[in-house]
Amino acid sequence: MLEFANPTRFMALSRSVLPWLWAAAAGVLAIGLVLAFRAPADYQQGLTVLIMYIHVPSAWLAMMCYAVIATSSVGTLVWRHPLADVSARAAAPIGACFTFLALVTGSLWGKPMWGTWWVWDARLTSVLLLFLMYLGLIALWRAFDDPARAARPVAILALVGFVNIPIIKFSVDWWNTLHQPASVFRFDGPTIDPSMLWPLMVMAVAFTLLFLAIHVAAMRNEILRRRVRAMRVKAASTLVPAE
Amino acid sequence: MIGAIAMLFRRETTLALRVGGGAMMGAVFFLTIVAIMPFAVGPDLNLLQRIGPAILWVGALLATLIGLDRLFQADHEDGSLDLLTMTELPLAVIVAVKAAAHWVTTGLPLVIAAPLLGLMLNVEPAALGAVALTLAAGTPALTFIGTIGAALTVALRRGGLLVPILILPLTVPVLIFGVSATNAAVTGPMAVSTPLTILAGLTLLSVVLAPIAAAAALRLAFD
Amino acid sequence: MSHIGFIAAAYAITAIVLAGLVAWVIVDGRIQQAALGELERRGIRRTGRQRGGEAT
Repeated sequence: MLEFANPTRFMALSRSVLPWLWAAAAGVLAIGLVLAFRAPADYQQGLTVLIMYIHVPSAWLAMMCYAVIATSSVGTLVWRHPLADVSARAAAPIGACFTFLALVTGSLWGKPMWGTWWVWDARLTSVLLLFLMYLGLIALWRAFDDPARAARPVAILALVGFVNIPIIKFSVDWWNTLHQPASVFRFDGPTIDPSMLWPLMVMAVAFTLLFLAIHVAAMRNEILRRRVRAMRVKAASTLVPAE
Repeated sequence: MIGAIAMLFRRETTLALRVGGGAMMGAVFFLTIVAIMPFAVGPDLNLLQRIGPAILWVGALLATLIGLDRLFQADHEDGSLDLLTMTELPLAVIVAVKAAAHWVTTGLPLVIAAPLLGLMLNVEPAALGAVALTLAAGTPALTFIGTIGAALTVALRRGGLLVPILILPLTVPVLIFGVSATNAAVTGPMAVSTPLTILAGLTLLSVVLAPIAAAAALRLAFD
Repeated sequence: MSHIGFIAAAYAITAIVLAGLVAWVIVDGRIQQAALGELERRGIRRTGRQRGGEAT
């Protein structure tokens, strides 16, 4: 872990790893899509189950991304790891995108299935709140002039949010049973047929690889961006016209 | 230490109650929200009774959020916050006392105003006391959770809507159980105890944990 | 099946968002590299003395 602590080493290491990540992501994604389209149609939902193969991985990634941010935040606050806040900063927009996809695909799945664009069931509502929390992180980051100064406040916010997630989940579940609609919405039934499980798993792996590739690339960009900023600040402070 | 706490508490409440302190603004804002709701949803008393608890809670939440920026901002700007950190009191205790004083001057008026506003929303008179009780149990949680947001943004000049954006998702559990408890109180003998207990639990949790998180955030502003 | 529209829309928006993410990461990288190159060309270093006394 410590050898990644040096940004320069990270840049060198990531440059060699990144092409493989992209290739792996593309490859597994292709396999996953083929498997998904060749899987049998669900007896209940027909072809619409195809949406499940992108909705569920998106939701998983949305949550995994927040876990990455929370872990990075611990790294920032406890160990002052130099790359920790770069990791968190890079991951936030990616997580927000996956959360957005989970919401939109969930909505597009819900309309043909249950007739409404939006369903206030426990899961979708929790994901909506997660989306708002991502936006909050990004908003707090952008409110600071110096991104390095934002690192620790955002880390605190991320961890407060992380601690809150089980509480929110519990509350929303409780709220949902209170307002129980006539039928119970289960996106993935208690048992998924193996013929659907495999494509789902492969798509999940594909999304994860894609996230890793984008994340590493975004971290590289963030490191470069901070170098550029530092150099511009230095340039601005030293270019004093000679009298 | 108790003496210091008492003095800080008295300072906070005195400052808040002075002109320009902004204490009662929360209650007035609360009244405004409740007053404009019927223009939006229609004057049907049955409907208002059904969504009354929700209106009361959203109003209380927004009124709390509006008032949060005066928790740290003024002290930070004139340097009193730095002076306070140099006293013997731990920063978390200072934050807790400030938040408690803030609730007394902003949240408590909401609790007192709630029964009156409940009347406007066609809540049964018998249930008004219970409504106030549920708000009393839950508004401290709103204040204390909001303290975290206020601490995170204290050094930012362009704070604006940032604190509500950061804090609202975190207050959803309080909202859920608060409305549920108030609903139970309004619509009759259904057990108020379950959501009320959970609400009280959330308040206790936030009273203990939020000052720690907020103090950590404040320290960052001093660096 | 009339549901084809929804399926297509779901896949389309996923493709757009993910492609957008990838594009953002690539384009942003190029922008930063370009800015870095420009600054280095002007002789600005991150540490140490600047090159010469020339003002730009």
